[in-house]
Amino acid sequence: MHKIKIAILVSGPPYGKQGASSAYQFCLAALQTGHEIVGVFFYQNGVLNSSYLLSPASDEVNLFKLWQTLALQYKFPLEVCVSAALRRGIVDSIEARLLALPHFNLEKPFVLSGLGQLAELSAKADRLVQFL
Amino acid sequence: MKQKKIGIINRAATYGNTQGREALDLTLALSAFNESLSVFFINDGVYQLLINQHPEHILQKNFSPLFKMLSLYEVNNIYVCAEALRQRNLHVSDLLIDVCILDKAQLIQKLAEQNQLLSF
Amino acid sequence: MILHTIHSSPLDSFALQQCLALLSANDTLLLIEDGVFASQARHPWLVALETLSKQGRLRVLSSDLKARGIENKIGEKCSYSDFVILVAKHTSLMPW
Repeated sequence: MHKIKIAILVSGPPYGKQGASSAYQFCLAALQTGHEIVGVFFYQNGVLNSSYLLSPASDEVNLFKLWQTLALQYKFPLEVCVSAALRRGIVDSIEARLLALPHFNLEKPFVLSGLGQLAELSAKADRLVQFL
Repeated sequence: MKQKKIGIINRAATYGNTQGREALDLTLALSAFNESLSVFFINDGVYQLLINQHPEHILQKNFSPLFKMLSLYEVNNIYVCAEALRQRNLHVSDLLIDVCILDKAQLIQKLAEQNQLLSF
Repeated sequence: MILHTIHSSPLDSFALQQCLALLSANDTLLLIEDGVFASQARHPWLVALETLSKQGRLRVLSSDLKARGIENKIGEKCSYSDFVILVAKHTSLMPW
């Protein structure tokens, strides 16, 4: 079958709703069947997927780790909308310094970026798939 | 390269959630990169466009004036579902910006024309 | 050609009804997450779903059925890789 480039938009949180897990399972299936994920953009409550302070119980799935592993293995970016992130307490070290916050909770491979990055992913991709 | 047609679909009312606010932020931001945006207001989404909003009563910022930025940013394809207005006892004169009112068949047609859809 | 994904139960939300109102003749409906209940429960939109099902335009994500311990009474089951194929076959995707 024809291979396609897919951009993913995650709008839902890592815990409390299924959408982000569905997005991960979709990405995994797409990659395993030879399609390309050009990037995952986290917006709205989706930005909460990027906090490295997420600490699920040890016998439960850690979606944060799954995203991290998949992105590193298949070399696609995990872009986190900065304005949605700051509103929800997700900051990287640079923002923490700028805002004089004592802590940060976002690190690579997740990166804070603007909505312009979503425009770029949308332009690059054959398909855009959003998960609520 | 020809720009993709992106449809941004507003299905939810404000201010009980941030769907509308975040859809509008996204629309204004994307307009700098893509000149083929269309914005749709269907179902409860039409409530976002009402003139007389005062969310300061519920600890929120009134973002509705930002809808006027759409035309400034040359986002001119703004579509509102006629049936959604009717169901909610609303009229086009209740809305704070100029919009194009579409019936069901026209709406289906416009949605089918989009290369990518974003749902809020 | 739009692939519509329904994420919530038809007995809990209007998403299915609202989607059906805007479905065009060559669109496909994919029930995922709590949307899979629409393939099992009795609800006012069953006749519409049966018509779609006969036309091969109703799919149900099997992992979400299994997770919830239910069997679909209508629609064709699909895996996540089938979901990817559906995305490739349609122009766009609209989540409800």
